[in-house]
Amino acid sequence: MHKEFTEDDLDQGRHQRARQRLTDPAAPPLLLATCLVIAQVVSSDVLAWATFAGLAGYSLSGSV
Amino acid sequence: VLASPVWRASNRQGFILTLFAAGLVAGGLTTATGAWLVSGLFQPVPLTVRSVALFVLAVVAALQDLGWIHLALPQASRQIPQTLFRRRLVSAALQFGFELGTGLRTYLPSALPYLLLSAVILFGQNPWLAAAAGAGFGLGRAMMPLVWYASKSAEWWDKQLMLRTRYLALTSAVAGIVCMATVVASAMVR
Repeated sequence: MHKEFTEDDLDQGRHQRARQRLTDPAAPPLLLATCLVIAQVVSSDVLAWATFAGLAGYSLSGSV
Repeated sequence: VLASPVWRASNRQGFILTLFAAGLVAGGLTTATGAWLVSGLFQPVPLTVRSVALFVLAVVAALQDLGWIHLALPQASRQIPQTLFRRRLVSAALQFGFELGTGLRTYLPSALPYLLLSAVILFGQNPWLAAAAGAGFGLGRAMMPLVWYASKSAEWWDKQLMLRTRYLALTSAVAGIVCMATVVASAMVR
């Protein structure tokens, strides 16, 4: 038996994959690492500290 | 572990999460303010001594997060009591966020927050830097429930987090050393 997929099914699958990529647990550290590079480029100490602190906060993910 | 009744509340989840995040930022700012006050005591310590101390702490934190050493770091070895969640959800979300945001109320499974606190105490004499550290910590801590919520798939997200544990530890270790090198370099230029 082959299940036939409609355009809607495929769209839904694409959306789900896009959502999963954007909300992967690895995404926030990647974003923060990018911010850290930007902080270095623009020589912003405040951004560098905030970014490092963000990583420190995120490193506690999974603990309450 | 991830089943906190606050951010898993089925109704008004987005609103409750926003309050929770606000509480986290307020908690982070409170601890940062305390650390900033203490940092004044370390201002007379020569910059070289502070730099070496922070470098050693960054290496120790990296080794701890990578699991190569196992130091018993000071922490409140208990979870936030369930009685908190018997209150109204709004005040519970704020209080739960605040207590987690201070970093003093429950377990700390990573060494990075200790490194951050040390950095603020040793190099955070500028109040804006201390405030950035406090707010950043709260926002970083809020990222987990916010991204989890946005994923719309709790089981998938929890599983991915488990799979990424090693990657997160490595990121913490590298970021800790890089950031501390930046902090020290910046302090020397000033």
